[in-house]
Amino acid sequence: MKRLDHIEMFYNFAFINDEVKREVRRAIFKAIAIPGYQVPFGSREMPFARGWGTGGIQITLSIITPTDVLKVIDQGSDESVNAENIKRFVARVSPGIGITTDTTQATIIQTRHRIPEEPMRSDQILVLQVPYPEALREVEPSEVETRRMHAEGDYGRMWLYLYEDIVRFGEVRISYRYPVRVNEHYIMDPSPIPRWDVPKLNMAESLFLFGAGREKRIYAVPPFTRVEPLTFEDHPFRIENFNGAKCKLCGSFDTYLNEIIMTEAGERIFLCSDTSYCKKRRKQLGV
Amino acid sequence: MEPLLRVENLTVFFGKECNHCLKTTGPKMETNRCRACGTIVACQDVSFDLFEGESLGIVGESGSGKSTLINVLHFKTPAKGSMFIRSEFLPSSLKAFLSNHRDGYWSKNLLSISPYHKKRLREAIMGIVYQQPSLGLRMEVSAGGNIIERLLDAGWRHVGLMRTKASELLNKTEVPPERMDEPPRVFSGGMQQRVQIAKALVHTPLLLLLDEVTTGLDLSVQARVLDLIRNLKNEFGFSMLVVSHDLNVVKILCERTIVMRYGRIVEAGLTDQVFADPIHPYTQLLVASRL
Repeated sequence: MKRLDHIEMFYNFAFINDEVKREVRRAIFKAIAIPGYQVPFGSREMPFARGWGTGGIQITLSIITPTDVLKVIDQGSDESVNAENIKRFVARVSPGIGITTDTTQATIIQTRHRIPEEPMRSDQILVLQVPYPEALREVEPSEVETRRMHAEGDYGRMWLYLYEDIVRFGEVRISYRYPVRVNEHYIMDPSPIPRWDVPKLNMAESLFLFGAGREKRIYAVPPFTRVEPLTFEDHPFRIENFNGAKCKLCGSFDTYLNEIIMTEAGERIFLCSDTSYCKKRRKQLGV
Repeated sequence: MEPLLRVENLTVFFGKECNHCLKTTGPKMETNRCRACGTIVACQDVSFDLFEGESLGIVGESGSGKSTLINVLHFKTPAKGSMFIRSEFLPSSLKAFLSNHRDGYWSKNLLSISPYHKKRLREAIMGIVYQQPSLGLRMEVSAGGNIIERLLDAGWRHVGLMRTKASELLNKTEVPPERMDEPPRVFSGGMQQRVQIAKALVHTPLLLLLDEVTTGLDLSVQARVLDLIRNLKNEFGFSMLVVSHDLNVVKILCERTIVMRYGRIVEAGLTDQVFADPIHPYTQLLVASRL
């Protein structure tokens, strides 16, 4: 309790001060105005290690208000160390906010590597943590050059990369960070979400904000924006196929599943990646 | 007949320029480096017309500004001066942006349009073949992929169709199509050059730029590549700009020739005329010094 007083005395609501909030919000507005465009912003040092969601946390802290309800997930799980730490930190520095694990109750969801299974609503914001914001980095190491490529719409090399995969392996190998074209303009990195989640970005009701703290970039997908994975006409986009496997706990087969090896003999089970959805479903079914 | 492309007063400086640059350089001064500030005047007041289906040769010793000229035309090097194309040859998607609304006949000055439009125009109407295949090709990507890159730029999105088109082109340039999935670095020099030609021609450009295409190939391969280019020109009907220091290449491929020295045009005319009856002393020297 004493610690809370200390924080309330010396820190602004939601940790970062108003000038920084204003700067980050401006970057967010610009990002929303130009869907898929990476807006540079002055990324601040956070009491987290870089790579632990410093970009996402700066967005969350800039937009959070005392009436918001926050949910934090890491690879679909509400209970991982990363998710728990972020949740505890935000709750401590912004008194009055609600914390939940239920997707439908949350107004802001900060996430890493997954989009929740339950469809998002227009009053919800999904904040994604991004390690590498540049989708063209695979084909071009130079930042100057990738910016030029974005400006000129010079995306031939990205397509060529996909073509080479098809020629060599029969299909595109990219399993996560699948490049998407936003609003028929910029090619964007959807952050390391699996292919399964990519279609959820298209014409979604909610706002998606992407924050990369180390790379100092913010970008966004506004509601009802076309987001298309890069595909060829004769090689359509394909999401993960679990060959009819079911979640061991809730029995669902229409969710993204994690494969877990149980014994040394190689016996394995599948579990829902989205733990709160799995829990909810189990409650409903009475399992 | 009206020209397809008109280039006027093209001037290229490399370095900070001063008032003395133009006076202290050129064939008369026998240098292209400015005595006062050290700037290199790579091209000065280069003007020419290129007609439809014509091939124009540019000859001169190394350092005479031939390659700079080609790079300017390919929008790789910025330059002063102007370059126009006839509006009717502009791709339909760019007509609204690039045609000159006062004139209507010629386009806007292509040297001062935005980089975005330069890129679009380059993709739509130009093909280039360099001396070193490594400049024109991506050596780590398959030969087919190299050719298909041009189609991808043009908006093709069907792998099967693109592969058919690429193998068609490889067939025409005498590269075995069954090797299209190998990277060009395992090919011989002549074959790499032919893949480069296929890449330059796959989107049926209006203008093909050849920068010393046969230099570095052995004589029999040179002959085959030149033969190939001539046949493809008859088939596709593109215009060509051939830069070479080898007079024989220009003699075989080109109807008209420009002779450059120290960044200036010293003589221009029909190829036969320039080589049979050279007027400028430098051209006379060039023709006489042929091996």
